[in-house]
Amino acid sequence: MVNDPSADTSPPAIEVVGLTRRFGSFVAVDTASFTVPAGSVVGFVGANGAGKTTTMRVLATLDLPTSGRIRVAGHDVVEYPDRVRRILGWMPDDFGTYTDMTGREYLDFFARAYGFRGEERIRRVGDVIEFCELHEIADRYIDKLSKGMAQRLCLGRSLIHEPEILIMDEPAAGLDPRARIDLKNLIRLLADSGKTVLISSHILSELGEMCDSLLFINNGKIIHHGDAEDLLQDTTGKVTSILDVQVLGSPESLQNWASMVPAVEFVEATRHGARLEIDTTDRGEIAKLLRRMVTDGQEVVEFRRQERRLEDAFVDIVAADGITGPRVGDDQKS
Amino acid sequence: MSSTSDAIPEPMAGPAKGDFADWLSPMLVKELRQGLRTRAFTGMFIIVQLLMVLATFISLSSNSANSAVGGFFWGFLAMVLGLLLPLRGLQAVSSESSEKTLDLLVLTKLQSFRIVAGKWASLVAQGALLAVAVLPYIFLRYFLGGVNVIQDLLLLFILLLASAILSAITVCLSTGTAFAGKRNAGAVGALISLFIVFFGGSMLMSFIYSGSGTMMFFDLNRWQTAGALALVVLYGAFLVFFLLKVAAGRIEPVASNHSTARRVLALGLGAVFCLLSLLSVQPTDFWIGIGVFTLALAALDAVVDLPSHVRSVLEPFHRRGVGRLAYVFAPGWHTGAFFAMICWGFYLLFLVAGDVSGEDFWVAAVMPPAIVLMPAALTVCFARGRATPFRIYLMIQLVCTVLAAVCAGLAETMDEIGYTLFPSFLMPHAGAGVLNESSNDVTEYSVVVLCGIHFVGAFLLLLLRGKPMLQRMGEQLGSLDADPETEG
Repeated sequence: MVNDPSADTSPPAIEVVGLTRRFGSFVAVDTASFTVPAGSVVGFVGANGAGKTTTMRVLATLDLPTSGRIRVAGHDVVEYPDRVRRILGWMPDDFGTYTDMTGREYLDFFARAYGFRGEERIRRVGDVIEFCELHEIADRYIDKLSKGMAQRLCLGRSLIHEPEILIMDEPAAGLDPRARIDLKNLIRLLADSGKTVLISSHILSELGEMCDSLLFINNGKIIHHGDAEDLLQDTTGKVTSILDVQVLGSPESLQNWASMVPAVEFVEATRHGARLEIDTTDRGEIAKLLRRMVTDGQEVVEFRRQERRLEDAFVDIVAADGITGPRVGDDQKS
Repeated sequence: MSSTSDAIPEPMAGPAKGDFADWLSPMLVKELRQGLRTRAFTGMFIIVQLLMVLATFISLSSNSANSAVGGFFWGFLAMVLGLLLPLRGLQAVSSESSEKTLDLLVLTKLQSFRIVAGKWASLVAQGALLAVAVLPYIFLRYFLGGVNVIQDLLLLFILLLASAILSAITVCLSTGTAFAGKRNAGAVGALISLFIVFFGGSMLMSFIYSGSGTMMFFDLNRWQTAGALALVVLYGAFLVFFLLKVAAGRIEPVASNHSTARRVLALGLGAVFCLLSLLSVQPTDFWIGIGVFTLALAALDAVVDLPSHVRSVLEPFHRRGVGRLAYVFAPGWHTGAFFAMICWGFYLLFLVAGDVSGEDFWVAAVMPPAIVLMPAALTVCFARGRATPFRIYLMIQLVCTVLAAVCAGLAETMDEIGYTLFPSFLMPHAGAGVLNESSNDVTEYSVVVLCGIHFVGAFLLLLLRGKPMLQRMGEQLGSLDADPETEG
């Protein structure tokens, strides 16, 4: 996902060049660079403490970079934060709601805060209630709302000024499956209306479905930026398939057999059989292997080809990058 | 939902007919909606009403009880307006932080000053509502006899003014992390309550009453008194503005400038008071006192100010053709050092106006400025990259003051000047302990020299540490010169 500057002269929705953010000696984001084209939906993926929230907060003008150049719709976030704020919708992971207000009062307040008055304010609040399907809860106190409802209200709040770009930090965290589906549908609708969305999440499969591209961050560094479909290919460029095989009787027999077969590149023991990595994705070759397995006396009770998932891609990319998981010093961040 | 970010109105459009709330600040509307619903306010309101009814019944039953009831009446009102209501300000901004809504507010068109001003105005409005609610009892007391209704109304006004200033202080304090939790807010709030009760109360009473025990302030036949009342209102407005600007600067990310306005205003006021004192306009001592306080406040604020010299902050200086003034008025302690020097210049003029001469002049000229500046220089060394230089400054100031007091105590007990003279090498605060009735010229000059070294040394240290930032500011201003078509 790279913008071709010769094809489109309008600035990218988000342009990050060499973003570094330090908290004391701890480097939360390390020379991150990426571009988000206007009108695209980009998933931002990383382990806890990888630097997602810090990056998003800098983009949202809520934090300052230690170094680097960050532009949102062509406006520098450090030099001209007010311009960025006008075109940006921010949805934090903790929602941010006033519990002693009703949903309608909450939206009304933010509409006022964005400078809308009179009929225009009433129209915008109505539009958001309509879009986020908040009719039932609009006049309920926020502390009486479920997490999913509060989250939808928060999405409505971030849309009240009709921003061009939406930054959503873990919006699906802690939601039940139904609320997640609702959220996914809303984001799809936003994407269809031409908005640029940068969304972070741990649920990679959901991101794969709704995002045009995925951005992986690890230890503060951007380690991958590409289409979700590309990621389903092995990052090493090898063409392989994973086969889960279960046999009747001793699994050691299958494991010994597999280690003798040249097409099998890797054998991993499982409780009732083995997980085999073979050097082809050709269906005919896979069928031939199964046939040989049975001919050689393996009592196969289950033979399943495993699809490569985004999670696998993420793990592979992170493993290739080195250390995984949160870093020492994450708690130093304020 | 269409993508029409341009639809955000630049100048706020006129409100719809019949929607009164559209005439008010959104923050004020929200705060009033929330504030008037709280149990604290409704409880306070009901208790005030009940006690006022009770006081009225007691007054009705006995005329002689009227003055006693009056004391109770004002005491209770002072507690509500001067203590309980301002204390609610301690949670004003910290509650937004704890509810994670502060970021959301900052991202709207509400700029940080309007956020804090809305919160403050809401507290004042609630105070005004309570004051209006007691008006019928004030008039009733007048009809019962024995009270001057004009005096009572003016006293109520003064209480409201004090409440407004105290609320600005607590709203400003609420931007600190010390108030992030309710427990913290309660503990610090208790300390502030004590301060308000003992110091604020005594100051207010001494201000209202003259030595003869009559209310000198409320004799409106005297033009001077009316003028003094106007001055108090204006100065109160300055203090509120100054404190709210400090608060706004603390909640907004660095790409904003709330420092220039407060420095310019404080310096302007200081200059006016200086001129009045130099022209010997009476009461000269009052002009000197209030002028020195104003400049000290501004200088202290400037030397612990968070630096910001991004393009959008420097652009207004460049646009007005006064780029060089950014070195004095742009946000940051590095420019604050120069600003403090200008304040010091005015301070010297105040000393001249106050006829301070001889050794006293030199002691006064260097010791207080050194006490202000030396901890600032240390803060710059310790608070590198931290967002809370004021807290560190306060800690250093507190430690130095306590140590100086201990040294002075030891010197007094042991009758040995060395206990205060030698610590003066480390901190100017100890110098105050050296100066007493028994001190001679040599010790006085020693103190002057030591404090002078602290003063000059602190200034040079600030300059040295601030040099990279001053250079960066120069580069930014230079780039603005080179690029006349700056983004507007």
